[in-house]
Amino acid sequence: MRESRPFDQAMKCVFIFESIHRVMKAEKLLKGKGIKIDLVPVPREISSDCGVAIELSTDSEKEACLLLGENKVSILECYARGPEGRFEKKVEIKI
Amino acid sequence: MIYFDNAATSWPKPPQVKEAMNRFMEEVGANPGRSGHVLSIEAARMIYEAREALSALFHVKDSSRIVFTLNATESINLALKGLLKYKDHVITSSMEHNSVMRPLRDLEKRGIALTVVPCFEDGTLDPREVEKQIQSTTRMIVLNHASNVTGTLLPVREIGKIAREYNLLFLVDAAQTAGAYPMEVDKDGIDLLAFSGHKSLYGPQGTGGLVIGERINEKEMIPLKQGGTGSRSEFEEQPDFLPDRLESGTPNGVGIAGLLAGVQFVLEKGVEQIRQKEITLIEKLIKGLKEIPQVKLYGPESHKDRMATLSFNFTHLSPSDGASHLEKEFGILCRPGLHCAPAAHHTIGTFPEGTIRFGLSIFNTGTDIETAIQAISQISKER
Ligand SMILES: Cc1ncc(COP(=O)(O)O)c(C=O)c1O
Repeated sequence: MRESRPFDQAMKCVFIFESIHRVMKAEKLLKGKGIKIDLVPVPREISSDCGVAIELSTDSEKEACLLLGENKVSILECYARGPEGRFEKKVEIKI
Repeated sequence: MIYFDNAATSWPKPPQVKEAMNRFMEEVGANPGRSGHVLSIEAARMIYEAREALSALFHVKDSSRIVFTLNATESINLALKGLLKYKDHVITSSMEHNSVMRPLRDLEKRGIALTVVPCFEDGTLDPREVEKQIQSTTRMIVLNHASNVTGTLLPVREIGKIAREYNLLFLVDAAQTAGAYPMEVDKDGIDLLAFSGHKSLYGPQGTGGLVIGERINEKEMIPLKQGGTGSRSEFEEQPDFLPDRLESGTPNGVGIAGLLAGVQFVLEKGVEQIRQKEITLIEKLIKGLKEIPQVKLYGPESHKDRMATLSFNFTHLSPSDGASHLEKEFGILCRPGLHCAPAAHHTIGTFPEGTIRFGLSIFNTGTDIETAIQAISQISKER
């Protein structure tokens, strides 16, 4: 099965967190600042784990990273979704 | 009917507790953190909010350091068995509930040294007596915040200072105070705070928790149980981060939904206001009962030293007979006997018969107190 979301969206990135607690904290912080995000199942290409990830537009990626960093919510991994829907790990993110 | 058994478990609960539980069952019901569907996410949000509400109540900075348990007993067992090691020395008081005493007595058989510091007859404790017992091997002080038998408050803040000074772990059993007495985990010098969800936090039975202070290294804490957490599923080892390290298996979602509503109720009312109301009730009760010569009261007189729980006895009736009269003739429900705290009854001089205990809550009224005083007065005249 392929990703069911349309590919013609803007470039997206996906944040993975250590625990569901962190995802919930991140969601509240980001939404509180008006950053548009989606909670999505962790894409199968990324992890066999059955958790939740946060997906957002790459336009707000930097602001989101800063906000989470300020609040000590560390992002475990960050992926960018390419135009074909493939995920690529971004290594430079470290907070 | 008058319910005075709130020190065991509070009843009634605020209506919003039942509503929240019903809503969770009807509209959410899923397993949090285990999958990405909307209901699972909704369950995870609710549990996150419950941790946040408890953090606000206890002044905890990082809500991931609050883990949910079945009750205060499980929390205390988790703290003791998760942290104590062979040959560690532990200091506790002679007013403890069996949820502290029994695991400690068991650990004692397995090579942990235990000192039980005697309290005064009204249940109060001199912090200097605790300090005197500190040895080079002392690792932890365990203390109840207030006695479930006499309602006596123990000097947690003073002992918290001593614990920090000697670099000892400090575990507080707040079963009787969480929600009914103001507390600030870090300022009070508390490293581990065990609480019941079903007493003064007005949640349902089957809820409780443990606050794990910043001074505790959770990686070194041994869980009571290991298992699925929804996180790190590719590994066969337990995660080393909180709360997942200490919370395995499907949580009590419906219970935690009720607990969240209970904690919100307490936050809205305000702990100080709740305490003021309960103090008014207990002072009225003590004042009334002091007038009755056939009644003996236990515990401190001053409201500053106590919670709204009172032990007493009729001079001519056993506790169980007294309680039975109270229920059959006056519809007053209370608890006679030893209240799972034999050490406390030894301390106040009521072992093995015990006492009659009235545990009040915010839902009791001045009329309840007047009815109870009249009932006790009448029973005391019957013979
Ligand atoms: C002082 C004290 N500690 C511990 C407990 C145990 O609480 P729980 O019933 O939540 O395990 C109780 C209540 O029964 C108590 O009063």
